[in-house]
Amino acid sequence: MKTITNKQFDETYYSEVLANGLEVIIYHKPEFRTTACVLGTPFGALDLVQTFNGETKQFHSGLAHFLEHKLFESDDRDIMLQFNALGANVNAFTSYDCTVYYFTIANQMVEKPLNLLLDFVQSLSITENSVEKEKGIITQELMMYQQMPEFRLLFETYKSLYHTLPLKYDIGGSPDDVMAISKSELEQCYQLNYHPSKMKMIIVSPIEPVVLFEIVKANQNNKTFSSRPQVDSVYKETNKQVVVEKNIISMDVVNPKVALAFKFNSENVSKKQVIKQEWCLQLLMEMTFTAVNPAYQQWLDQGYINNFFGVEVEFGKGYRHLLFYNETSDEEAFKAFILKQLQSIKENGINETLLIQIQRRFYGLSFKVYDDVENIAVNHLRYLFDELDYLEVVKMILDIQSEDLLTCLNSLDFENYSLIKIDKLA
Amino acid sequence: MKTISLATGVRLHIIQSKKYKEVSIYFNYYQQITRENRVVRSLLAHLLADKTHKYPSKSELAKIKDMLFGVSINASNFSIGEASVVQIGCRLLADKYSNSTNLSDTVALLQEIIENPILDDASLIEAKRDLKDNALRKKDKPMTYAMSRVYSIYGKDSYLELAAILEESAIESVCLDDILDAYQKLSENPLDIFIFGDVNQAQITDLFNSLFKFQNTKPINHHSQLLEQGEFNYIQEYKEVDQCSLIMVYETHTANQSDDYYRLKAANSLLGMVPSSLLFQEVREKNSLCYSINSTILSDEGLLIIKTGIDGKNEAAAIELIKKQVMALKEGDFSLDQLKESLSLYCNLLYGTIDDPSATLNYQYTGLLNKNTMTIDEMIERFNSYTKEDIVQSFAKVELKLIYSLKRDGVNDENNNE
Repeated sequence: MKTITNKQFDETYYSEVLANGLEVIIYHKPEFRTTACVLGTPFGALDLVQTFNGETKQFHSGLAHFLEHKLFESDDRDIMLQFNALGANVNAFTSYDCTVYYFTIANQMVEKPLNLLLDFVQSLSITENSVEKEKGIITQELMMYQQMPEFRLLFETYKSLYHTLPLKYDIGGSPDDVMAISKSELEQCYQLNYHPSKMKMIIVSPIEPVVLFEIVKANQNNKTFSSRPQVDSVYKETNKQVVVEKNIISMDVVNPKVALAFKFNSENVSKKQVIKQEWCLQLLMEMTFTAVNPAYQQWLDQGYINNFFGVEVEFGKGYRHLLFYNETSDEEAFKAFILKQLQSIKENGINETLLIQIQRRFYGLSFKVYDDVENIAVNHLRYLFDELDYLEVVKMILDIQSEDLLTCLNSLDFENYSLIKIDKLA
Repeated sequence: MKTISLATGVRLHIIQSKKYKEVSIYFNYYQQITRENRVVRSLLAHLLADKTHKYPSKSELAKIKDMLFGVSINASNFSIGEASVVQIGCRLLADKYSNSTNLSDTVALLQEIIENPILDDASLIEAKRDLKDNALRKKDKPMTYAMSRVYSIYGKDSYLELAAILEESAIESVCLDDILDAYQKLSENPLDIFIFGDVNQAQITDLFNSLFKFQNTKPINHHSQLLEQGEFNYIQEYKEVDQCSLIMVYETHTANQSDDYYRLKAANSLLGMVPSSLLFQEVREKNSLCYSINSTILSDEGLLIIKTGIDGKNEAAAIELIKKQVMALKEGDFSLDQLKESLSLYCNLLYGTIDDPSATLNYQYTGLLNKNTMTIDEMIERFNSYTKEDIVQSFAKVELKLIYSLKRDGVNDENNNE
């Protein structure tokens, strides 16, 4: 068991990789009452194309999410009901990058739910009937999100940017693909992506780490696993250009919503480099497009933006984009406004004092995650999948200099963009 | 929790804990809600956290917050039954991780925000614009809009109606004098200040006493009022949406904080609060009619609200299934094991609030309003003592009063028998 300590943040965690390859991280938090335990796989909605045994397979969109739903099925009693009976609150989520199963419990009786988490995630038992039934539930989930204007704006933005990268699909998949998913496809996907050596477990608990490690090891030692499948995901975007330069759809909204999204080429660099580039751009956007900029008030007063306005920088597996969003009926004026401000960054250079100010803010906010056991666990897991340490990344961000921001800005091509509008109904 | 009186009607509640790296501070100003003051106080809250005389622009206020290691300060107005609460909330990095004066500097900033806000015509114009945009945005979210319609329809002429989304005309009608008057009255509101985190009780008390000049006010005198609105109603409204938002409102005829109230809470965990609940199992898991379904109790009004998103063509089927689950509780058509399981998770969730400052705030403040000093341990002990008969008794008076659905016009019910 390794011990990793960060004195500045006053945080320590313990780490061990078990014989079957499962990596287990434990934070000891005796002052908290709640234990949070997460178990995840780096298999998410983006992983639709995978190669194994010399073969390439294209899965249906929404498969990772569908599998997440089905893992809660059991030959005995529904998994959720089993957790409920133990007083533990279980849940799961699928993102583009990973699928995570977790529970929280606010008493010391952690052993049974911890074993249950490992047992249910490490076995899949489904029937054709239950797969068909799940389609109804997932379809309602998809509809729930599709009718939320802000979600729909983001979804249409991804569709407008990406030709083949699965970011163009809802995490839950397209309705047609969901209906086409079969029991055999779910089982194959599970075999390829849920081997313990691919997975990570994070526990944040008032219980002694030694006790928790023993529970996990005893559970894993009782099981045999097949050899780790050699699987690689392929994240392919076949076209560097956006799909459409303008995309307008109508919904029953009062205020039209607009997004302007810039698509950048992906580079073959390390994950740490990707995060550094992402944060350089993020810091630049904070300095320019938020209330720290005195011009922000003028923009509000003159109607260029309203209180819905925001900026998102997203760099990930096979994608890099920057998006601005606002409420306005004049999407072309919004586009012109953003392009003008981006140009002025290049002309005016970097305000060193402002960069330091924002980094000071970021330093303060980076402690926030440690005030919630579930956040500690999920945050650590996300960085671990990228083979990174959260606090090392925080340090990297605090060490960013103005030259880094300029280098990042000059490396990006702002000519390739798409304008998306959710307009009122006619 | 340690409570210190700073003036008559002004209380400082300190929950000391070294487990958090942040310190949370909340100011809750209480006033009885009226149709007029709810809009004015919403605008006032918006203005309070925007600009002050010392920091007269957004960028200057943003700068000082950044220099205080990214302190976040927000102001809002919300209702609890007959109460309008203007809340100013703040989260800051504890001194241990920042510097030895971060807490005192932040409290000084809070004093500046509360006692020297800029309240002028230009700021009011912007605040109105923001609130109108916020209201329109809420109307664009189908379930939020549906819930607002329920408050308006069922809650007509009661406090509940004032929980609906603000109307643009009401926002527009507010003038600067209204704001100034409301601000003046704020200092006369009963005030509860909550602090969570690594703080020294004596030091923080001295800090507040030295920086603020609190006036004596009247103590809070909060009342709950059961809503009993008469005839049953079934209302269908239409919007261009993909999914039908279905809401069912039951009157419980059960007074807040009564013995039956706690039985009702326990029963509600079995009805629709947790995944093992009857609604979740029957409507979602067994019949695949929805993704999300839950039941909530509005304590002050004595209402039980069930809401779900479904395919519009299954509206009648969903209504019948939901009614069946409520009837199961009335008739005792459930096992003690089912009750125990649902309570087990509900109690776990209650214990979990101990680790969450904002959940603890909500629990403590509601307790203060209702003059209820019951601890979570005591409440759980009560829940665990309940029998099947207690649950059946709690649902004996529960009566369906409103079914509301919002869906696309032309979506025909497959089982149209209502």
